[in-house]
Amino acid sequence: MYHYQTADRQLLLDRANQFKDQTRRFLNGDLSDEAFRPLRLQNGLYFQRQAPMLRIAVPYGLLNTAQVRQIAAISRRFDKGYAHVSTRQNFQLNWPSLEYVPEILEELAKVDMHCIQTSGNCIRNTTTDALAGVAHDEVIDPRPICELIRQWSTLHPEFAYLPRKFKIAVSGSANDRAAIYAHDIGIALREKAGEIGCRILVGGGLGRTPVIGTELVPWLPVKDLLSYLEAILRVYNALGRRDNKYKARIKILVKAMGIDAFREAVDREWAGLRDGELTLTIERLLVLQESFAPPPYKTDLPNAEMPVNPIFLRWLARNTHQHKQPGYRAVTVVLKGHGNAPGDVTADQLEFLADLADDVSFGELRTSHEQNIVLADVEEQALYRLWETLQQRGLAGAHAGSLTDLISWPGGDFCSLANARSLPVAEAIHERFDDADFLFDLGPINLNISGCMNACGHHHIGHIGVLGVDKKGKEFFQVSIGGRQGNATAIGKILGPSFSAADIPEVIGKLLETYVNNRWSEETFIETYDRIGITPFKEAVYASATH
Amino acid sequence: MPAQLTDNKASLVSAQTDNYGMAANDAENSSIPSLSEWLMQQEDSRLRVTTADDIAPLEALIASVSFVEVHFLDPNDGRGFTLGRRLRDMGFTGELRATGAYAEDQLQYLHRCGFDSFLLPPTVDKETASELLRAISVTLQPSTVSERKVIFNER
Repeated sequence: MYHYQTADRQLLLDRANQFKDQTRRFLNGDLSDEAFRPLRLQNGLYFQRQAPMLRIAVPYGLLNTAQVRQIAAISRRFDKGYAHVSTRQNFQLNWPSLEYVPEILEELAKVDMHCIQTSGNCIRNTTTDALAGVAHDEVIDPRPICELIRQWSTLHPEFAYLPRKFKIAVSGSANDRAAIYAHDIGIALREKAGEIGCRILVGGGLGRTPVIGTELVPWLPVKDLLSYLEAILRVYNALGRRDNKYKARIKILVKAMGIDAFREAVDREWAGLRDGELTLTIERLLVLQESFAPPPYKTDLPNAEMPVNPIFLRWLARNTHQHKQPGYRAVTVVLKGHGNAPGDVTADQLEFLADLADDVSFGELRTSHEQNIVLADVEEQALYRLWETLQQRGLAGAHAGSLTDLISWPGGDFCSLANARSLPVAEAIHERFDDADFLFDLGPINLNISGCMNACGHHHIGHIGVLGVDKKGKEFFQVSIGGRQGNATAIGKILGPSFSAADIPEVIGKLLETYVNNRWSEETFIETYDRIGITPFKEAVYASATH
Repeated sequence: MPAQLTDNKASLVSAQTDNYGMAANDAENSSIPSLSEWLMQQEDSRLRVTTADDIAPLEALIASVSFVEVHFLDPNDGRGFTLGRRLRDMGFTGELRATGAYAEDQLQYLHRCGFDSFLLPPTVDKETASELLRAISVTLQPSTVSERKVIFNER
């Protein structure tokens, strides 16, 4: 993985000091709430009802074991002894006190970590495939390019006050596992005659106004990537809407201008930037690629005999992934246990996983957008032993659906119709609750979304189920609640008349609110539902709809 | 140049009471022509723009400009950063001044976007401003830092 240079380290120390000063001025009353807001957000610090939430950047999901141990130590010292993996591959601490945040930043800087640009209207953490560098279908390893973008976008002086947040994803595989069509900019790396090029998509993003990214350029030599990105960001920063936060993403600008006019504007801007200082030299590319050189794989591994244990074999099929290096597999460790929110991981578990990674995966771990941990380089013959160890710690589960599970990207298993319908709704829900920040204390809730009657999303057995239906050529969504899987499998009851896609986040919000308002202490959503029945939920949803 | 700066400062002091938001009004009293006025006359070598202005028409005429004042309408209005860099990319080498509702913690970013002259927010003195300008000592991407000496004017 990329090793921090002196400049990278100095930047983190400076940033920690800068934020210490900003926090001091805020606590003194020299900075107003409003003035402090963008400063703390660009340091990943949200204020929520109970306590601040601090989002720690994990650039493109890569971690070494020293970093993981430090997160564990910080969560013990400054928080409640656990951390949370987010859908953007970052870590979140849910309960730090504001006064300690500067100290946390200093502790993070000791292991080359930070919270820079994990929130706010700026260029966010660039994401990629959790199997980058090891996927069997990979054409180009996206990590060197992600690192290039990280460096360019970190504390970029021009783009810290964009109209809205800005997310970039990079894929280097035949199959897109990075959801590049659903990002402000999606980059697909290609190879032609020994040269690396980028297909650039722009204006994707689902949310309230779902749009699949449009191709801006089919082939851009990789040397021009940064100058071209700078041109895109410049056009967006100058022309993106600032009067309405729901219309401020780049997708709205691209739609309003039309892709051709937008491309012309970018090209005009680019004319002054291309072949300038941002041009990627071969030397720099090689240095970046060198940072992500494969670990010292063994090449003469015998074929591994897999014990015929049905539970192990199920885990093997669901939680391990084909590797480009023969004799190895990538392993997903699912962070969804009983009684904790998806993505939550305790300090003890983090240390345990760090030990495992040192033992079987070259001392590196990855966070995935499904909110799990990936050990990317495990020898096949070590898998059974690894599974047994994980089982002892309750970490060998294949995961069940959950609110944040489904609102993260369902990957390539869904048909295109389901994608077109359910992903926008999923992302709209995600956006709604991304800002609400209270997912953590909702406890286990399965939210299942199906794009059509084929029900690949198993909506009918979700605690909350959403089904896309066609009515006279128009799309509607039917919502059911009370379904469940497992031993007590039950089909959910339909709430009532169906809704438009735009209404769904609000409907889900009302359902969750009804639960939160009615629950007894530790009751889960489904336990509350069983006790109070469907009526209060119905009333909450349809009362609000008639206003 | 110093005389012009004083004029400018005097006119903007009155804006303080308007809490930034109405500062555009006081700019109307300024002796410096606005972009549209300047484009009609082109008699002065100075002009003022707001972050909402399209500066593309300046490109061909930039050699005759020695001073541009950019008025920030809102601290979250990031257009001014791009505006500054575009001016520098056009070849503007004169004094580029930030006024209006920018925030003191943006000083370093503004400097890296080509600004070299600042009418400081009312609560900020020159010493604090020079410290804020140096908050981060390393940069990971190219920018358009002016070669001119930075000018701070307190309100």
